[in-house]
This record gives sequence, C-alpha cells and structure tokens, in this order.
Amino acid sequence: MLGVGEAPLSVADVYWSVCDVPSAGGIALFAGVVRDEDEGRAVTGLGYSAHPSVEVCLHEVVEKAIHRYPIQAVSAVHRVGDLKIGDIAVIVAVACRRRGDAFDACRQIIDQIKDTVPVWKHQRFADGTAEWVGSEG
Amino acid sequence: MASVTIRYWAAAREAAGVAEESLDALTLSGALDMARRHRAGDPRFAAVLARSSFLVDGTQVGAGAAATVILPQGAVIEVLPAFAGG
Repeated sequence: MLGVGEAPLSVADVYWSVCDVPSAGGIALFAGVVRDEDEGRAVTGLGYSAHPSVEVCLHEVVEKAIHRYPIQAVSAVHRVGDLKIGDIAVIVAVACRRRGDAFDACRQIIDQIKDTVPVWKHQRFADGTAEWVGSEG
Repeated sequence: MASVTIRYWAAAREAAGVAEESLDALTLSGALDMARRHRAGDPRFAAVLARSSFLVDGTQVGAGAAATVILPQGAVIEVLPAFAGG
C-alpha cells in the first residue's frame, strides 16, 4: 500500500499488506499519531493538506529505501484532512528477513517522509489560535 | 520579462492572502522580490518564503539557481512552505 488520502488509516490493514512473505522474519511498523500538545500548548486538532505531487514524492522515498535495504514488502500511507487527537496520520510498515534492516528501513522512510514529502500541518490550539507547523521558523 | 503566475500553498497562501497572483519578472528571485514588495515587506510573508521551496513549471529550483533561472513566458511558480508530514 502506498498512498495519501482522507480515509482513516488502519494498522491492521497495513500490517496485513506486508505480512504475507514467508521468508520475512521481522516486520517494523511505525504509526504517527496526533498528539494533544506541542511545545507546552494544548492542541485540539490538526488539518493536513498536500501538494498534488505528494504520491510521486512518497514513491521516491520508498524507492530509495528499497535500493538501500533488503526490503521484502513495504507499505507507507499518509492521511490528509482534519484529524483529532489520537488519530493516525501516517503508517509505515517494512518486512525484511531480519529485524535490524526492518527497523532501519522503517526509520529512513518515516524520516524522509517528514523531510521531503509535500505535506503541511495546520495545528489548532485550545486557546483558539492556530499555526502552520514549521512554516514560519 | 515574462508574464508569470505565482501559486501559493498552505502557509504561503495564508500569508500571501491569495492563492495565486500574476506578475512580470525575469527570474525566480525577481518574481519573489516583487511579491515581497507588493506586501510592503510583510515579515510573516517573508518568513514563510525564506523557509519555502519552489517549483517552476513543476520542476524544483534550488535556492542557488533562483537568481539565474530565466522564467519562460507563462511560467507557473509554486511556493511550497516547509513540509510537516507525519
């Protein structure tokens, strides 16, 4: 599974998408979740939006990981739209023969999603204010 | 000079106050300078631009090339604020 959409994300669906590889001995799965505070301020929700090139960029991130690590199955999905506290924003799952590669590849993919995939986060605070995370320095 | 369109995304759209604008410019940095001047040096707009990346007709332009890349007639510049996925 590779994609970006508005539907709620399911850890079970992503897990099942990478688990049917008999020679894989380790599956690393990361879920990024909406947190209730940011730098001491109470957060009430997040609005995620993305550039039309987002899925192309997501594919590039996954391809880089495939070139670097012996990945046997991989999924990466990101949600956009309005999310509430506790909602899952992103899931990455990697299956490899051994856990070390699975952890390392999963880490590279989520780190590069944050750095290079054109997704934006509009954070709403309990005091009624809001900000675009990371956009204004 | 080329007539070009600047398309603003996310925080850039909010800071710019518009989703798109048209202006005449020779280079990417010339177009961005003009956009800043239109807003009388608004510090918030400038701060967002300083942390943005730019596409010209869909292709990323590195910060070092912004002053030298000549804009084609009808070019679309896209302003992509710093990413914050995950």
